[in-house]
Amino acid sequence: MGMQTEQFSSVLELALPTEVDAGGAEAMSNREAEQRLAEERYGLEIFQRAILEGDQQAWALLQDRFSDLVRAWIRRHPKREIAIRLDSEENYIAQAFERFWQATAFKQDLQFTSLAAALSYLRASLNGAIMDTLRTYARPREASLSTPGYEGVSVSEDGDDGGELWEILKSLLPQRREQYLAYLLFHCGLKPREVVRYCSQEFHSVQEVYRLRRNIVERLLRQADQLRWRLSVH
Amino acid sequence: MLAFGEEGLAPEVVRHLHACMICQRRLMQFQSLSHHLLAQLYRSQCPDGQRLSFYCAGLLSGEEQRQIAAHVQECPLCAEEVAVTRRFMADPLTPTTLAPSFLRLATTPTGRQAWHGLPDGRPSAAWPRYYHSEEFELVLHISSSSAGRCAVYGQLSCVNAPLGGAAFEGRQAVLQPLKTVRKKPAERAAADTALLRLTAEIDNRGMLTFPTVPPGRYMLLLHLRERDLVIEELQIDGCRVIWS
Ligand SMILES: [Zn+2]
Ligand SMILES: [Zn+2]
Repeated sequence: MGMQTEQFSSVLELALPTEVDAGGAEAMSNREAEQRLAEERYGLEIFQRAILEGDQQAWALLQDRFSDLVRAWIRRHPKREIAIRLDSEENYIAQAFERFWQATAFKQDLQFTSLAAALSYLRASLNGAIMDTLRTYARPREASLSTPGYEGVSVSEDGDDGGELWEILKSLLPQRREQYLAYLLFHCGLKPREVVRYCSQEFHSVQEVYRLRRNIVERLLRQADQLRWRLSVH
Repeated sequence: MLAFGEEGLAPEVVRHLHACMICQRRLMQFQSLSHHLLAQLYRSQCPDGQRLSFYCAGLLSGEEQRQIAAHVQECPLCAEEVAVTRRFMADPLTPTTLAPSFLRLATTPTGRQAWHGLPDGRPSAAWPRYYHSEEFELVLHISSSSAGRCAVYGQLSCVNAPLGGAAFEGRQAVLQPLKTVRKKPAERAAADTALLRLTAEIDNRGMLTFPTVPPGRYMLLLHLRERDLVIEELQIDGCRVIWS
């Protein structure tokens, strides 16, 4: 008899992610609270076994159980419409789990203190997959290395070391204000009009941005060698 | 001239440009250098989308959180992404949100009716086993099958609707072998093929049958329409007892 009672406690119900709880703040009975606690414990255990102990069944179970939830998240993402045009839901789901695994597996200092904490890693991983996909497509045409209009020649071959180039550029622009404008123009790819919109306290008019930009570019042209650039047209 | 690269140059500027070689060359230099800088520098200081997401969720180390916070102050593109991400992460959707119609009954098991319709075999002391949750009741039984294997039978019923077995018809029951192995995903894929996962379909009386189950530790999963029932650990090794 005692043994059987023990068995009962090992049966847990794992609710499927349902659509948002429309009622929201309605009072929960004690039993529902207990139920939630049991689900919480079970869900958390799956995460712990899968991620911290590398239990393969638990990992399979985790993907099986939570991919519907991840799908529901995608459908509620603020950028879902663009995201879905760029890649499939299935790919985002697969990427979310892969990134989640990369970020968490076998991390000694990692602890999931609650199911919500574990899920926030998963949700952040999904968001990372979506945002990185959007970034790829948001890169302005002018910032691409392969447009036909790009005639500048990178003197150094390690072209992707933007950090170093940025440091050089900063050293050529002593004024903080010029540095920041150069940052907004060349690092963020903003147009002068957008600069004024973003930083109206700092830059008051488009004319002012044009003027500052000319000063910056002229100054930089005098130091072009340092910027790994030379004009290749004649 | 100041507005190079923008949509509208004033007509007199355009006229002058056509005539003046010096200005043409200067404009070309301006454009080329701008393009070079943009191509090399564009978002080179930004954390990638993953780190920025983790930053928004507060999952990075204190030092990293501070670095990225400083960057977000300066970078309008990351600031925009942070705003989107915060909105997304604040969404309350979690798996613990239950269907509002869910009913929970007393935890004390009731209705332990005798096991009906067991095909053959004498039960050992440990069997049948009763599993119970608020809404569901599951009785599991085993008998010997071929070559040291067991047949596992289950009857699932709904506490609220004792004759409602038809509601489970066609739902899947899964017996997953349990074995804790420390492996990376690449190694998992290979290991998964060796894994014997057994499935069965629940019939219209709520019955499920796994005809030949090798002894071992399993997890039993019942994929019902609205939720899953899980028995985390199920030791199948009682068959020998029957014959001793
Ligand atoms: Zn001229
Ligand atoms: Zn940024």
